[in-house]
Amino acid sequence: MTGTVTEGTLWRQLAALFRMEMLLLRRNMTSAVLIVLLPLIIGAARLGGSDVGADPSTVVDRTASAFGLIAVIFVHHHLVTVYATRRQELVLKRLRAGLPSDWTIISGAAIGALVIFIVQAAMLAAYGVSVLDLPVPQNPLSILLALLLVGAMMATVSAVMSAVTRSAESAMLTTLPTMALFLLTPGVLVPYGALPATVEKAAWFTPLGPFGDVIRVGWLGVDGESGLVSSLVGTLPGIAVMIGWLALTMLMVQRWFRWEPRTQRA
Amino acid sequence: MPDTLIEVDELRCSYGHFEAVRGVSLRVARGELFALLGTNGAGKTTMIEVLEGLQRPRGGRVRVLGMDPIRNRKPIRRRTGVMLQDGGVSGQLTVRETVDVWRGLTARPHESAEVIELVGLDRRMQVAVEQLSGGERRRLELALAVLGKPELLFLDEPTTGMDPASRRMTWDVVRQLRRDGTTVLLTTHYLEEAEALADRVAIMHMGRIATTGAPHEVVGGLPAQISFLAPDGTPPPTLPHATVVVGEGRVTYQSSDLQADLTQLLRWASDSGLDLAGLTARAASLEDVLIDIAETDATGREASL
Repeated sequence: MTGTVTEGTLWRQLAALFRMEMLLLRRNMTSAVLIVLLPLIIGAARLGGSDVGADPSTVVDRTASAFGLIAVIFVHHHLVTVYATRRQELVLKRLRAGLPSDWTIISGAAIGALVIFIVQAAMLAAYGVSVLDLPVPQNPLSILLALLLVGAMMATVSAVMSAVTRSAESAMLTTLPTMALFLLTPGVLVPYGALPATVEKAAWFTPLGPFGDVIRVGWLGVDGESGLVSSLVGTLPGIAVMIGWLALTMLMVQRWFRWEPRTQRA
Repeated sequence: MPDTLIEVDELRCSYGHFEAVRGVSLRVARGELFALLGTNGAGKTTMIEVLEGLQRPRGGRVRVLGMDPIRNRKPIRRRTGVMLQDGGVSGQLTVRETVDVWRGLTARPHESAEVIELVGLDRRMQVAVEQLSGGERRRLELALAVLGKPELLFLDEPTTGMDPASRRMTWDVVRQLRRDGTTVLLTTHYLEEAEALADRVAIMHMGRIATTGAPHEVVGGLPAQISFLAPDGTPPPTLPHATVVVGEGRVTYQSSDLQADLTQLLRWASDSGLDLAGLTARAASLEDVLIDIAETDATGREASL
């Protein structure tokens, strides 16, 4: 082994943190069921069974809603417990005394849940295409980007919310406000058209507001027309809004994230 | 290569209105083992966390390996090892898994088996961290601190709460690292630990360094203590180098020349045909040093470097 191979590069550090989270998940049956199995069941239930003659756009909206529910309910809650537990065990503090940068530690803790989320989304998409007769997505790039952005946003929001979360047990309570807020986004839990048009328009600019649009346009193209480029362009405004929110929540993390328990210095 | 690995000038730190470190200056040279001694709340952990780059000082200047511990975090961390006062490892991972994960987070790490053996946990490799004894857990944390073959090692109370076997093993590891040229800054409650390991000691008291020097200098200047149960009806003798206090049924002398005073006391006892029950004689301890410092503070003489 040479020095350069074993240098503490970013990827090597992220891989180590990912490995730690996966090992811990394997030891914790409740967490594993909550983050691996249950989201798939809820997602599949949201998509429903074969529905002959259903409008593809309706089925894609249901799929986007399933992705959103998984992120908002499961990824969010899981990551708050991860940050809170690692903080309580002083793992975050110990990591910070070592080589990895602050952002490496924060993303390293989230990367396991994000990988699981992306795999779940891919499985549900495959279910949609093979069982529900959805067309193959025209523009998987925008869809993947939207999923990554939502996942990353769940990580930053969870990191911020974990600052007021003392333990894994209290995570259910502390995530309630953000979870409710995200669930109210049209296209996540509230169906399109359920809210007054002006409210729905304004809601498009909330963190998850453009998510359903990006998935629909990414999957079916603009107004049902095919073409990768037009679909890519069509999703840009939505992607831009989500990037904006991610940047804002990152600033919030920088400001409010806590590296050690409050009780440390009584 | 700077030969002073740690430079601290007029360091001040506070939590809200409480000033935990109030103007501390010190130097640690390459290859030295420097011990910060003090009771809980003396400011030791705050000091060491500032040097580790975990806390931002409120005032003063700090250089570690010639760099600023917060701004130059990355280059410093590649050359330092850290053992926090407590915690830092997930209870559900095994010893082996913990070290394996940490290898990925360390520049130029040792092999896992190598460090696990170094701290004597080779038979506990597959045991979950939460099932380890307190001493074993601290030794695992020590293994993580030395995983990257650090030039400079920070140990925050490495043996607090340890059983004697674990303590001896920890001391052996620290001595071995010293022989290999590692510079060590450690904090401890235990005077005997500082005496056993350190080249230089600084005693912290209420956020200041009260006294500093080689361990024997720091303790040597202080009076030793002779004590026994007060015998009925016989007043204790006056000893030439000691002051005497009688209280709670005990006679206690503070002696600046233990051998001379003890000889005289025993002669007196033998001449008077007395049996001195509960007789003890010992050199000064950290408690004595701290009491001495507190008294010095109380009389208004400002202790400084």
